[in-house]
Amino acid sequence: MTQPEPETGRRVDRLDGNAAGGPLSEIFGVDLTDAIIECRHCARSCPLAEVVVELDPDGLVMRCRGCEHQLLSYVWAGAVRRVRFPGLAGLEISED
Amino acid sequence: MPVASRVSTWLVGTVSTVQPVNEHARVIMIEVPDWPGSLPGQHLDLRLTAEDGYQAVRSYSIASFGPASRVELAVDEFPEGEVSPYLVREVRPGDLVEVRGPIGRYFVWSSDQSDPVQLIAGGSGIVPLMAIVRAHRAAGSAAPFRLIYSVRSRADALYADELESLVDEHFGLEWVYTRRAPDGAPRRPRRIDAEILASVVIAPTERPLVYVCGPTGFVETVAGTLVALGHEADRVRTERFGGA
Repeated sequence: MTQPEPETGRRVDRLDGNAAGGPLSEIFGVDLTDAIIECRHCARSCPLAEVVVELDPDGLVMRCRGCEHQLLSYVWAGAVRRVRFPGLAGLEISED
Repeated sequence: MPVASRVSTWLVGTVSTVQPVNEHARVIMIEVPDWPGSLPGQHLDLRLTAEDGYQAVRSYSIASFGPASRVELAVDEFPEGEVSPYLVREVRPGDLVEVRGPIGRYFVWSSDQSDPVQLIAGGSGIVPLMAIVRAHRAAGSAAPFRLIYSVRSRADALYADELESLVDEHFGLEWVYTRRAPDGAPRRPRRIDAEILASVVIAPTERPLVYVCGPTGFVETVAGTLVALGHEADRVRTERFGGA
């Protein structure tokens, strides 16, 4: 499903954490799609693959599927990559 | 096959073959010499660079699996998209593309799993499920598998003939037609709903692992309905895609 972004008219896809696997590997170096994340706002935890991801050409926002609060944002447009963790309380990464 | 959780950097691949499926989709084989192999259900990121340096990245599920350096994608065109019209209409054997992957450690199936599996695809959401169905057959797995494949019409389906040929005692296939149903279809065309899911999906009491892939709206409807029908939410794995 695609939704127009009000300010620019650009398309923003509302997807899930599977789509964040590649971009986040640029920062974390590993595939985090099966990492267990915890939301700081509602304490919900689930595999990263299941969270809401809003994706556009410049970056992505991860939201909790329970309370919609923003977990993480990653903007890669421009010379500086910016990652913020407004609502990500934790990440559990299992060894293979 | 070990597949590291480390995601590779961008790799150069060469389009080896392109095969039209219908007017808006085709199967594309890409030879990637350094490809580390993939698990059934994984995807890759594909990057195109225009002559002026503009880059576009999209994720595509992989229809193949295993260690081979040849990766199979099936791409359905989104007419307003930036990348899929190029892949469906223009890309030719010999063209170079960049790929990163494989990606995905959640929406995957392993042949050591013996649980019943219910697969539910909407449109080109069939692609990762195709890899899983192929892996199930290749492993000779006796895990009960069922696939529900929702398409506008038979002509819009990807892998229709191959799927039909794989039907056996361990793999069942149910078509849901949303616009036009062939003669003899059990239902008039309609969108997938609670009644269809309740009658066709492996029962919650058998605790199937369910994989749902399709456009966001399709996935949310199906996953929500399954939980309402008594399936455990954490046994319903989902993957959504958008327009590209």
